[in-house]
Amino acid sequence: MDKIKIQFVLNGETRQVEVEPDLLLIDLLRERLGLTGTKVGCGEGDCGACTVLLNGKNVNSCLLLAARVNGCEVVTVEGLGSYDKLHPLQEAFIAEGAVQCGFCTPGMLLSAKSLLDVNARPTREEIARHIAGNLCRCTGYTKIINAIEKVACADRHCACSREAEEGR
Amino acid sequence: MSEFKVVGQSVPKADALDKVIGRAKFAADISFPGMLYAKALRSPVAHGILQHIDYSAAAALPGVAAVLTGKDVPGANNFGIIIKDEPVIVKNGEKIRKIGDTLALVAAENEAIAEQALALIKVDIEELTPVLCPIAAMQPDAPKIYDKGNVLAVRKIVKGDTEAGFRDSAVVVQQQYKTQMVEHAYIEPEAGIALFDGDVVTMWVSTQNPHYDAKEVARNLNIGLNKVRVIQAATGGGFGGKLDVSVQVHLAMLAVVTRRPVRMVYSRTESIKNSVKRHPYTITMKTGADANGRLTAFECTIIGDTGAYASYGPGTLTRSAVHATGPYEIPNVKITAYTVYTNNPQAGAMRGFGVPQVAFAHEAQMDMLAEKVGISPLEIRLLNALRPGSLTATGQYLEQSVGIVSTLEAAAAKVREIKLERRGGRL
Amino acid sequence: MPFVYHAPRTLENLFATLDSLEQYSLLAGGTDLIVKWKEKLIDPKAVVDINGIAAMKGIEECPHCFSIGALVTHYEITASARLRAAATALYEAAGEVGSPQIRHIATIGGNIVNASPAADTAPALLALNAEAEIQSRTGISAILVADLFTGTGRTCLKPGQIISRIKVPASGQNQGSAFVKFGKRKALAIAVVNGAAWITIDGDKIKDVRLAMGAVAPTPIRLLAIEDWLRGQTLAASTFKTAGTMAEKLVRPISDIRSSAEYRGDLARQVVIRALETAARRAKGGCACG
Ligand SMILES: Cc1cc2nc3c(=O)[nH]c(=O)nc-3n(C[C@H](O)[C@H](O)[C@H](O)COP(=O)(O)OP(=O)(O)OC[C@H]3O[C@@H](n4cnc5c(N)ncnc54)[C@H](O)[C@@H]3O)c2cc1C
Ligand code: FES
Ligand code: FES
Repeated sequence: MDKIKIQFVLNGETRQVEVEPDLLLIDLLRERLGLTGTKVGCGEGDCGACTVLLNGKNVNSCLLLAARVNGCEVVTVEGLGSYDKLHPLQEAFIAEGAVQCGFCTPGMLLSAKSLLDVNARPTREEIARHIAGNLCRCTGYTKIINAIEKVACADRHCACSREAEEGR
Repeated sequence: MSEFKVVGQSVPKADALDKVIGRAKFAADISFPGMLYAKALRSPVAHGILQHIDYSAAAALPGVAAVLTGKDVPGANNFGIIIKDEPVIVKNGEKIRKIGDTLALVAAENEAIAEQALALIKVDIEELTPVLCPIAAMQPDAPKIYDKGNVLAVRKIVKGDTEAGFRDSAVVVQQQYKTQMVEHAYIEPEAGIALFDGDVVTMWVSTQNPHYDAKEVARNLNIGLNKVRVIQAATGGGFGGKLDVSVQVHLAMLAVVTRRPVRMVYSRTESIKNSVKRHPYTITMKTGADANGRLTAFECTIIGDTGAYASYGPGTLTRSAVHATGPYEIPNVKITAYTVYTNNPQAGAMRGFGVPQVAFAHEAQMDMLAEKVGISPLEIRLLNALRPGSLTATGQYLEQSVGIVSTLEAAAAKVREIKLERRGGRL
Repeated sequence: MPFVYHAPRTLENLFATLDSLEQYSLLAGGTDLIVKWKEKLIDPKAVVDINGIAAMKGIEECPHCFSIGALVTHYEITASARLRAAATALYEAAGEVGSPQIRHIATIGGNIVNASPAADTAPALLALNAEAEIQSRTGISAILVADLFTGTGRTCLKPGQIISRIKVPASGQNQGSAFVKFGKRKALAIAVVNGAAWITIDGDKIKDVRLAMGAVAPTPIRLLAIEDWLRGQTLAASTFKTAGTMAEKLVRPISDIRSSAEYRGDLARQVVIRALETAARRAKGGCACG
């Protein structure tokens, strides 16, 4: 099979790679480029562990042919923050106890980012709806939603609904 | 404010930083140069005898480094936390007891070749009638899954005289309860990677039980425990389901034979087909109380379907028997718990370990008794709850630290608070 | 097995490519296709990625109707204020597909051509009387989406034919529509039963109505007998209830992994009642999205 040349922006850096027609984005990231932060939980779009941002939107990298990201921008968890400079969502996930086994965490963080990028002050309901494609078997979601809400609130200096609830 | 630095304080989770950064290494994230990819050929039938296996075409496929079958297992060829009844690879002429039993292993240069190789292996299986219902499995004329019979373990607890107890009861409730098989569905499917340096096998595995894993690897490879090193990789959830052996022995064998790093990662389908489950139960429960709602007698039969292999089955059923009376004191008790083999997926440890199933039954009994006696569900529970000074079904005298009454009271207070709030603070 | 990959950027190139291929699969979002390929249910020799074709994109408004590109994603539909107001059932259905990740890449064209009896946009498109534009090298024709399905997983599309756009009539004054889905979870759940209603009212009477349902037959279906009965009836809870009971009797659902036939029948009744009630409320409310 002829390889396909693609060029795309990965975590802010322009990359040129040659891919087989049937190579999936998840395998390009994990096996070829060594970015193992993106996980595989089901391989069929059901769990969200493989979530990355494609042109800013959260998508399942297990369902995308690598050839399709030609000309696109892809962000993985490795592009979200670093040890020296954590993304506020990463800080909040740690502080709020939203990480247990951590296997869902990379995908969860990227789904959260894609929400906050278009809706800086989501309600808890909107957060829950937006992370509905990311399964977490450990936490029961409450602390994950708390963490996302915390970042949304910090961004806008708003009185967040949870604090309002608790201060009641 | 607590005076302690850690106790009573919220402490950041030690590995959370690596996990939010995407640097935590789960087993499938680890790779080594020259690594092979392993896949297993699984039985498509639930009950049968492996008559013949022909893997010559698979072994000849370019890119295949090794094909192993039952005859290649150097050691015991069995494992299991309580009973060593599960084969590493089913040998020619031996029994297949569930869909998913391993018939052969392949290590290849990539996953696609490994899969192609699996498709080239020809197996000849004599199919036997599968036994899928534990109650049917207990009948004397049921097909035998094991020569020694299908009932693996029976656990009995007797306290007092239940016949007399029921005679003195004003109300009796008897019901049958069934609970379903449950998959843990940890978000990370089973995975591992193994290396052999000519002396020691080292592996990183998604597991809850590295010490047990190491022993099973040593027994089945027929090498010393000091030649096996099992390292728990970051593990994406287990909930009891990763206490059993999955990829460990397979990987060790392939690493030793090929002398190359070997990685094996289950697909979600493979994980669901081959991992242990929560035991499905059939529970018959009879509970008596006097006219005030005080419990008088309790009889219970529990049949747990442990599937093809024991895993933690006898332990789970023991726990169920011990907890069948719930957090209540009952003077007369008779409990029998059966662990039964079938050709279903094997059942093992899962959060609560046999207790959730019986809780479903004993709590339903309490509600029905309360209704018959004419008191509230809370009253009947408070009346019968274990307290310091109580004697449990197994005869344990509880001296202190029995939290059920204070828990019930706190829960009741919370309910009252919420109800009050719903009425907008008005009484 | 591996396949060759083509990514034509115009309709012209697409048809030329299709002509040159013996066997192929069109790739839109791929959320059905890639899953089937991974599960080895299909083994295409060639995959033709249509995502670069501009003519199949975008939501355009024409007089009294919308022209929705087959490549429009469910997410784009849920982001359209105009569809929300004037094709509410479709807006709601698109919002119920899968998860945000799926909605960001899965397309309306793929949802239709995949021809699952449970496809969420299908009952909405049937109730709204949408048409599919079938295009091939030789020309373009239109067909009601309702007439597209020939069986589970099958449409009347021939090799070399694609759906380029979908035409959805816009609801106006005294008109409203609604979509209802019962799944086992709130997200990532294929419908156990789904359905949609479109209604035109005249005072307190039903002037015109269309009802469609999914997952109760081999293809999404219109409930024509109930529609006939409903025309001229008074807008009242009892009318909707009767329609619901008729639906439960009319549909012949099957038992499968997602539900028993009996439960599906029960749900069919509820879906009809709720869809009609909501569509009628919207028709009365003036604003279709209330
Ligand atoms: C995890 C998950 C959850 C899902 N949940 C839902 C759900 O809740 N509800 C629901 O309805 N569906 C659901 N789906 C199914 C799927 O997402 C939808 O059917 C989706 O709309 C398919 O669109 P696509 O663009 O991804 O199609 P593709 O997979 O690209 O294509 C599907 C089929 O249509 C053909 N095709 C695509 N476009 C055209 C065209 N323009 N002309 C001719 N043929 C074409 C393809 O060749 C292919 O055969 C789910 C799928 C997954 C993986
Ligand atoms: S691995 Fe992609 S959604 Fe589960
Ligand atoms: S933290 Fe384990 S799955 Fe979410």
